Amino acid sequence: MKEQDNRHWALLEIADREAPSHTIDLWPRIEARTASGASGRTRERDLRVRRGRLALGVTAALLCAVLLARVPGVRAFADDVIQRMGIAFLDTERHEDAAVQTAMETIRVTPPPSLSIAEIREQVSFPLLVPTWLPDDLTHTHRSIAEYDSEQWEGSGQKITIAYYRTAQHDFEGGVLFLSANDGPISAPPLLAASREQPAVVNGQPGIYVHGGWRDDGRGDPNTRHGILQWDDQADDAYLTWTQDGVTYLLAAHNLGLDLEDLVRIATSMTAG
Amino acid sequence: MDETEAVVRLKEGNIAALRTLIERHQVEAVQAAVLITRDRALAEDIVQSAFVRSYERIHQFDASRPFRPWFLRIVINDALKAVAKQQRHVSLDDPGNPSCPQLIEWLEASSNGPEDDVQRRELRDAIRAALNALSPRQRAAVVLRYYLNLSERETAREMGCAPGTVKWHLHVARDRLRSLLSPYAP
Repeated sequence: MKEQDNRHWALLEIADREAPSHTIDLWPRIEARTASGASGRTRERDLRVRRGRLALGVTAALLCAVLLARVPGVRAFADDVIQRMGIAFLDTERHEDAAVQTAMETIRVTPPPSLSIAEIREQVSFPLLVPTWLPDDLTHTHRSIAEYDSEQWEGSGQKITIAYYRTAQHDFEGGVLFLSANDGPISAPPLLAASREQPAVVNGQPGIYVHGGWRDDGRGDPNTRHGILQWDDQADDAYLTWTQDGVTYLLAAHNLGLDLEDLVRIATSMTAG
Repeated sequence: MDETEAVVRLKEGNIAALRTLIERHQVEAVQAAVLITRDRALAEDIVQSAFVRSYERIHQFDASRPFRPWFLRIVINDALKAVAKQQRHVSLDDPGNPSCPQLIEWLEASSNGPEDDVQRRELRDAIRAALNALSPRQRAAVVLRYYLNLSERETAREMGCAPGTVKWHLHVARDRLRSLLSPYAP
């Protein structure tokens, strides 16, 4: 903790020297920008679109109700219900609840917004394969594109990452599978122990599989270390990487209990469909 | 006005609430962006645009959640994108890069930082120069972990990678800093 405090202290000093806190005042410029109407217009446009959609929905519902009321069968059914019950009850309490829920409803978006496969394919220049088979419980997906330094790494400078989580909260400890793809060597390769590499084959292409992970609490294998990190074969991490059609793929599973067979099954299920 | 109230008011279109959020988060956001981009003007542009985008998209934000992580994520991602576009590389041969005998010890030590003002300044300047030589993602990992004080797990979430990969980024960053600073060791 002290070591981290030291680094925090140093970074704070560096940051405060390069951007002294008393000189940072973004409000006037942001106020000018928002007052100029650019962002206001965007919001107003959004609101207009949403109001328009709401109005369209209400009009359509009213139209349907009027048309249905004119259908003899529907009208007869309604008359029959009213005659038999003597009175028609409206569940106002429930109705109010529904109204409140609609008013309070918030759109839960995990930022940055997850992209669709189609959006990803529009933005990158290389073909992307995605799994058609995954363990059943990996139902929460988040897709993103990251930029990397294409001077340091080969490829277009874009890396696609798709994360498949077990939980809606995108909790790592709940289990997560990452699929990353880029048209060159892996842009941010996880440091894996070379001594644990196992050969694998994915669609006839050679690949590398590694099971385990690094830990920094001194409880790993003292003979397999990198600085303060020690390799732990028992860590529930599994990696499979291979190259196909010029695209390098990496599957990284954390806390999912997956092994080589599972990762190869996921990899071989990947299609452009 | 507290942060939750500011978000709720902003959702209602009250632009004054944006000022509350700006005043609360602008320093941390600009400084984090500066550490990644190494460019004050660019950092301010990034954060300014991030605030305007937050305002435009505030209806997508769940007011029951804290604003800071959502906003800083936008800033960090935008900073990384901006640096990738600029492809700027600052040389370590910066004449303003002084020697400092305590650097290596300090990076791995558990003791407190140097007490002496001159030593502190030398150390800070040398680390700043070395920071420039890291890749943007390594800098982002260092900033998230050691400037914003996120845990490794939180850092992994922000960077969209496994916790083991963050350990790797931080370890490589520390290794690289150490080797870059070694000429200044005794």
